[in-house]
Amino acid sequence: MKTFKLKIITPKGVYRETDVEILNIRSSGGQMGILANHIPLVSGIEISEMNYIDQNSQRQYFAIAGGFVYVGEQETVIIANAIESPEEIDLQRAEASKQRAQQRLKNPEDIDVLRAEISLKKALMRIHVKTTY
Amino acid sequence: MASDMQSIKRRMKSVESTKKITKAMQLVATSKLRKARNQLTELKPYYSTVQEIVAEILSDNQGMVDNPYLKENHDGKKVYIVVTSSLGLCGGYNANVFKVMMENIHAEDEVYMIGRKGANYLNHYQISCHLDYVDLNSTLDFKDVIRLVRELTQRYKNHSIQSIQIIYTQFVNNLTFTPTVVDLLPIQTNLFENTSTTKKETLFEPDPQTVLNDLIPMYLQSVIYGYLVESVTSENASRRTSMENATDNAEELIEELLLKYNQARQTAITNEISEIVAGANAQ
Repeated sequence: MKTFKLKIITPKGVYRETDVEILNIRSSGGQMGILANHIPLVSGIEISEMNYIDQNSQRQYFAIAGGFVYVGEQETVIIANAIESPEEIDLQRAEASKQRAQQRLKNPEDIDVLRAEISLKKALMRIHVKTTY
Repeated sequence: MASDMQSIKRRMKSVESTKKITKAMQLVATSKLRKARNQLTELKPYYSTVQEIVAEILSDNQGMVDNPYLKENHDGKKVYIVVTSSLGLCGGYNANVFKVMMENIHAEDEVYMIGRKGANYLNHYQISCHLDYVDLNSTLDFKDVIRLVRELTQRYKNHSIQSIQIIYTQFVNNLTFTPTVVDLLPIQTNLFENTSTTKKETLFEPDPQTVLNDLIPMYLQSVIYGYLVESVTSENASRRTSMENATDNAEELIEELLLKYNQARQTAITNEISEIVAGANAQ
């Protein structure tokens, strides 16, 4: 199958740069699969799991904490504040942050509810990706 | 004579120990500088990609003036983010930032201070500033930058902020740093005119407005973080240079003192001999 260039960028530098057959992401508009020769596209990515099939036909899974995808002519770029493969996820840390967020949401008086919800969402998604793959 | 020699010796000792400290600080600053520069290069692709996408959207959608981030607010306060250092002994780094800061800010403006030195400076002049992010220059925590941007964008959309500017120290090379003032909000669309765009029809999911609304906070995070890391790089470069100079000066001073000491010692010996000879001759 025809492949295209995928680059994943975080504030810590270039995370992955590889050729992929298909990229599956969850955009703000819904689940989306990107193949080679896609027309130029810009979209936000939800806090979700994403995956792609690399040149060796292996499906790679990641947990992404929100970001952007930019499909250009030469390459496709994902910009994320944080992205992790299942091996990189620290399950204990995710559990701890899940509990912290739940605790906060229980007495939502003087806290930023939206923030707690986002961090809960991130923790749950990390746990999901870690335990599923 | 003997007391003269002793006092010179004492000074030599003190200069020697000062030299040891400056030398150690120079080495520490050198390694920190290397780390900061690496971080700066790692950050580059992130920053430039976000910028490219923003440019792409803006060039594709000329006249998206009703976006809250592009529109100018006429009421509210002016906000300045100022990046200084938390440690001293870095030459003119802080003083230069202070000079630019005092030229720009007015009594009614709000200041978000990063770095303890800047906080102390404003405190001295009885000017209040936000201190929630004062340690950001040592932690360099991206989460805090996200928090800062969220707070500022919220306030900007509420019209309680008129504009946001950042005062940071631009890193030109290892010896040159210039304090610079940059506009963050409202977004200056002409900033992106030089960025190359594909000029191809681009699809925005779900629509350009939503994408831009999400992208601009991300853009601000990346620029603020970039300027922060750049300032820290400048700080360490400045510290390295000034510590190198201090070490050189100490070496020079030690040489001078050694010469003086030897002269004093020789004078003492000559005196003693002439006294003995005079004593022997007198007999």
